[in-house]
Amino acid sequence: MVNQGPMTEATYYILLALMKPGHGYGMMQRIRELSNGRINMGPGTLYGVLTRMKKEGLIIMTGEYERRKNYHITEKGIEALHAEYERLKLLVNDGAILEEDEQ
Amino acid sequence: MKKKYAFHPNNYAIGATEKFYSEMAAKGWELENHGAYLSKFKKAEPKRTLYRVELIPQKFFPKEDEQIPNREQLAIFKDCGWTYVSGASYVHVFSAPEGTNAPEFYLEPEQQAPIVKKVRNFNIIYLLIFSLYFIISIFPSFLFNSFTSAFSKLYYSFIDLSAAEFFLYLITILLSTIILYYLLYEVLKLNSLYLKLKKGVPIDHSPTKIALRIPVLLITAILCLVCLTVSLFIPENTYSEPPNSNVPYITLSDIGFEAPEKVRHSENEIEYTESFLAEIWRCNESVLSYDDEYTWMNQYIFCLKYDFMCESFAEALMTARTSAESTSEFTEIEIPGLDHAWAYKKPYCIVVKDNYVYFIIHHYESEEEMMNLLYAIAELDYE
Repeated sequence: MVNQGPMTEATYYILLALMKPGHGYGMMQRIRELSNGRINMGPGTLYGVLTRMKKEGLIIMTGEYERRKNYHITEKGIEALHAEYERLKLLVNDGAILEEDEQ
Repeated sequence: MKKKYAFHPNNYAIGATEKFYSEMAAKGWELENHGAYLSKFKKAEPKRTLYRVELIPQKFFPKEDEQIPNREQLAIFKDCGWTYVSGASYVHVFSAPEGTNAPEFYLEPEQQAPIVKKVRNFNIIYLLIFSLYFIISIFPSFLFNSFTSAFSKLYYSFIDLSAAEFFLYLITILLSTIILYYLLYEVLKLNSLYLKLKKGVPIDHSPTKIALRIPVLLITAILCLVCLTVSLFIPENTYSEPPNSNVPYITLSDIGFEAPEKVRHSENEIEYTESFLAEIWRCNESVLSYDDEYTWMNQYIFCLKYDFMCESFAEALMTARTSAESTSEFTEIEIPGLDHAWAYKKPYCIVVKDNYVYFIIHHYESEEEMMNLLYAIAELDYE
């Protein structure tokens, strides 16, 4: 597994949302839910990140030509997402000493 | 349906463009089409509408049926509440009624920076291509010669230009410079936007600074057409020799050449032109004897209309018309009656007398023959 650098927040949440395939407005709702209303994704960011992830093979677009296309996360995307989650967990766990100091 | 046309702010003035369209909508003019310079509006109910611009980088080789913006992008923006109105170049305009809480395009300014960088880079390439074209079309000899040589060739080429051509040439340089400056200005503006976004400064969607709505490139193009039309009416070079003029040229016999009694062919071809900057005689004298001895002399005489040009033009001749790389390769000869006289290798001679400049090519039999030439010119009396 290639050791990747930190993911941007936008990338992380979009991949997380795509654990359930979807598109457009649905995705925005999902991201808002997942982040407890904290993140209100803009279309510019969304389109930019989706295009990049498509190129990197983290997601694919499916659907017939005329109908709205759906985005699906790929194996590679799932791996990358888990890797990032683990990385973040490590950071949080190592930062536990901050909680100790409060006591 | 009533329609209205207006110039919109420059491409790079994003906030100003957004504000402009909102203000028009509030006055009852809804944006219908956003062109390169002009926008078309249709009469509608005054509405409080928000307009936002998304930059989409241009492509040098767009695919045939590629829609810009593509359907995916349009769908995503639509899902977020932004309807696509129109676009040109890298500027694409979306609208949403005020109060619908449609999210701004980018959460953080840093996320928009890469797109702006792409647009900036495309424009840099555009600028470079135009600069190259500018240099090649106006200074073609710069590609293949040294700097001094190229300049002198350029200077030399001016001498033949009629007033119309001279005027056109200057105007073309002026207008091309304006276009270059504008393209450079756009690149600098895009770059400053890119740097601000990277630092986290978002685009101001309602700037207080008044943006000028002057279509610089359009105006420059129109001026170009006007000048071209005007130049058609300026008189051309005249080709007939003025009457009662003392001919300023020297003949082979003047320099002591004795033609044999019977010659196979002898001629003195003289071409006269009057251009914007000078009167020009181009003489080619040749004698072919029965022994197949061919003697010839090429003479170019420039009577410059402006005295101050004489010496500099003579120096330009040195590097423009011979293989000399610099004026120092010419040897100066002092002759009373001549302002200047120079010689280079065997055949080249350049003379300045009053406002006449001579450029003579002849294979001299001896040094004496060359001196004869110089003295003969010194003795000429111009009216």
